[in-house]
Amino acid sequence: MSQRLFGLETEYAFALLDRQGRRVNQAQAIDWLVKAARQRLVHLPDINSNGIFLTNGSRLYIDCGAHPEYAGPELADPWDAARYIKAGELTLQDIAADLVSKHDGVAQACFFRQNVDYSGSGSTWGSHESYLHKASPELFQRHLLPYLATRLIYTGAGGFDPTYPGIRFLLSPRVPYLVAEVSGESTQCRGVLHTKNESLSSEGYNRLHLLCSESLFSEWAIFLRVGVTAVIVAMIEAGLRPGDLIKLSKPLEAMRLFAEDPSCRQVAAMARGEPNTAVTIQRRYLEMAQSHLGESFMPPWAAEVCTQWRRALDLLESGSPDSVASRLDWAIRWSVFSRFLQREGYSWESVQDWNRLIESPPKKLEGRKNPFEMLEIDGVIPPEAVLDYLLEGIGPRLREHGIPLNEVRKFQSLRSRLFELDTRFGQLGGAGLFSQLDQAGVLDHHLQGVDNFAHARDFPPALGRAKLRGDTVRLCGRTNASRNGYLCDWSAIWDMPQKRYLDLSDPFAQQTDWKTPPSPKSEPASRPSSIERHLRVLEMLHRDRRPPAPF
Amino acid sequence: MNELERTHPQSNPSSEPSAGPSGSSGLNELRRQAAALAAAGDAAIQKALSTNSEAFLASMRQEGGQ
Repeated sequence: MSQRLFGLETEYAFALLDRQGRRVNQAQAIDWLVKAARQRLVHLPDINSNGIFLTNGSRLYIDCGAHPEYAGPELADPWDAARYIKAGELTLQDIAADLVSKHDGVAQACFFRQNVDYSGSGSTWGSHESYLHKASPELFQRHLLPYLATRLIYTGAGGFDPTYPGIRFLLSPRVPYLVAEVSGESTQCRGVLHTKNESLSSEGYNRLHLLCSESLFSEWAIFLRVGVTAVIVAMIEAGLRPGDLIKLSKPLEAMRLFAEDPSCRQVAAMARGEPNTAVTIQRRYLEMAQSHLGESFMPPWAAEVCTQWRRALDLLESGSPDSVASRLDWAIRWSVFSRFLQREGYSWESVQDWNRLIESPPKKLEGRKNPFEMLEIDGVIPPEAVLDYLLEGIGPRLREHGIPLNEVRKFQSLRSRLFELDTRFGQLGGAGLFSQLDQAGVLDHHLQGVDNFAHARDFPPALGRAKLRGDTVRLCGRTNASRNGYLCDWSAIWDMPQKRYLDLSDPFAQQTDWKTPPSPKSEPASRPSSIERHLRVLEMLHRDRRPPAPF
Repeated sequence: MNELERTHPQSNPSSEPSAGPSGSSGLNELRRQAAALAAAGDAAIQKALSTNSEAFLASMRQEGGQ
């Protein structure tokens, strides 16, 4: 059996509200958040950013777009994936409580684990996965892409497409923001397969970095997302070539089709043969994995992953979405939103009718993404007049169908309320919809062994360099005095006063190994490649200067 | 105190969500579960939904991101 390592990064939406419900300036809110984190948490400062490394080996910092990001430690089994996501949630909730208690002007500190904005900004932020491997990265486009295009049937968070003028539910709300099959970019032109390969480890290791999916709450879904992907990466690394058997004609188009179909019966064109459903494509990967269980390259938990994987596909095929309504994030959302529609006098069919009605805006609005919002943002037409402007085009159709004009406003209101519900679903703490449903005991997503979250919040996993990192943070990071002169990174911890570093370049390192850094005057070939990234630190060590403090 | 990371030994295969019952009793159980989820969903929505969704969405506006 072969050990695998992987990790999850979760970017959160964050907002502070005052007692009148108004948003605190985001720059101010972020500043308070960073200070609160540093005051509460035992940590070492991050050498590369404004962030901190924690006693469980994870990193907390502010990513682009002012999103707090919790990058969990390197993990060796998929049960821990769910545990350490929950650990991040507990950490942020502690900080949220501090923000409210320490700042008179703050009434609510809100964190949301979701990935799209519904206010019209067009923003999306990430839930990234990293998988350590030694395969040639060029293999992933052919052999991993069909898997990534179809796994959303169990990894999708569910949500709406805010770029669409009507109401469009998607199994994976990130899909509209994926505009390429393959891309090295992460903020524009995002791809299903991300080609970034920043190893953060010693030579010979690669890091597959995926950003095509969303943050999840269901323990079962998290387990599947990480476990199945890790098994497939192991297969590709071992020389298996699943893409030789499975090739979508247009993966990006297929992904969009699959994302719009809660029944999971939609088929997509293959490069050869008949069109297939996402379930069928997934089964081809599963069959290959099952036929190689027990081989040396498989991780020790591969059999359990395959059992759960098969179970998920069987359930999806037998009656999606009802068959998974209490188990997978997108299906839980679908169930709740369906109920809400029913109470409001709508159905998904009537929503589709409305969508068709407003999909064809007046000629003046052609090319605008969302008539309701773009006109208001442009300031061309006052908000109260937007509806009248739209009615210029759709009015005749409303009259033709005998629909009163105020029904359009009701539909617009429905859209906004669904967007709020989706946002609330991802809210951390007792106010969140998922949290409430979980507390009520009506969900069926738990996995035995995904527990002891307080331990995961404070302690690293047992295997690999995360343990060394976390233990060193615990030892050295308790006070300002004790952490003075230490800087931390994924692949090293620097002790400036003693001019030494803890080498964490081996992801599977198990022994604390403090080393004296080579002289900057030494030949580059004699320096570990993992240290090249910190040549600046080396130079400062030898000149007895301190590096700039992170802000 | 010797803290365990988690209580699940990897060799234990019984870690999945419930299999779900089969047959007519199974259908009744599924209906009960669906009804329970619906009722809990109603209560959760009632608690969570504000009186002005557009204002809420504007107040939670997010910019940028990967």
